[in-house]
Amino acid sequence: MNCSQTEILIHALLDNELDAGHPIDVEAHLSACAACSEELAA
Amino acid sequence: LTRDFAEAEYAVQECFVRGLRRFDLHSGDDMKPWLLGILRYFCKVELRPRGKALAPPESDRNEDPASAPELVAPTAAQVTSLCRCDARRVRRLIAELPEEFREPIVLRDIIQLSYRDIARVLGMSTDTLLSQLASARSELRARLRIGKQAAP
Repeated sequence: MNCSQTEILIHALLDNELDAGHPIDVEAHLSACAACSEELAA
Repeated sequence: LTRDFAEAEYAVQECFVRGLRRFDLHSGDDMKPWLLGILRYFCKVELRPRGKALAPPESDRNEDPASAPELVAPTAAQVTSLCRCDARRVRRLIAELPEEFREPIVLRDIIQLSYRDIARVLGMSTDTLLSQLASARSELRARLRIGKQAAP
């Protein structure tokens, strides 16, 4: 999963609307990517 | 959808009348997205072509800096008042967004429909909705930042 995909899926994660499996992918990317983690915090 | 209180009331009444008339078409799922679909169609296809341009949203008169409360040890009542002020500002900024951004934000963050229902109301796939919602929220956040920087 890349940053642009994660940027979109962060919203679904926050809205609790991610399909099964996706939360793990997004959280794995977030834990490895400082830029996306900052985006989530913002 | 209308940015006009009287027209919005008319549209909602018309939506319920049409919903009742065509209740046989309702499939038994949640009624809210079905009614919102009727409302959206009525506003876009029948109300708007009558020639009335959308009025700009009302400005928030309470944003006058002279009337802003002092930010020194706010009481609980003052905090509530500040929250209300922020909420009004966010609502005004949402109203000013272009329609393709305003609709997904209103349906999700104000009306609190599920992604599935929003996609149905807007006639788009959930993947398109996801991307639209992300763009809409980014735009809203950018406008909030600009407003905060411009504030004295």
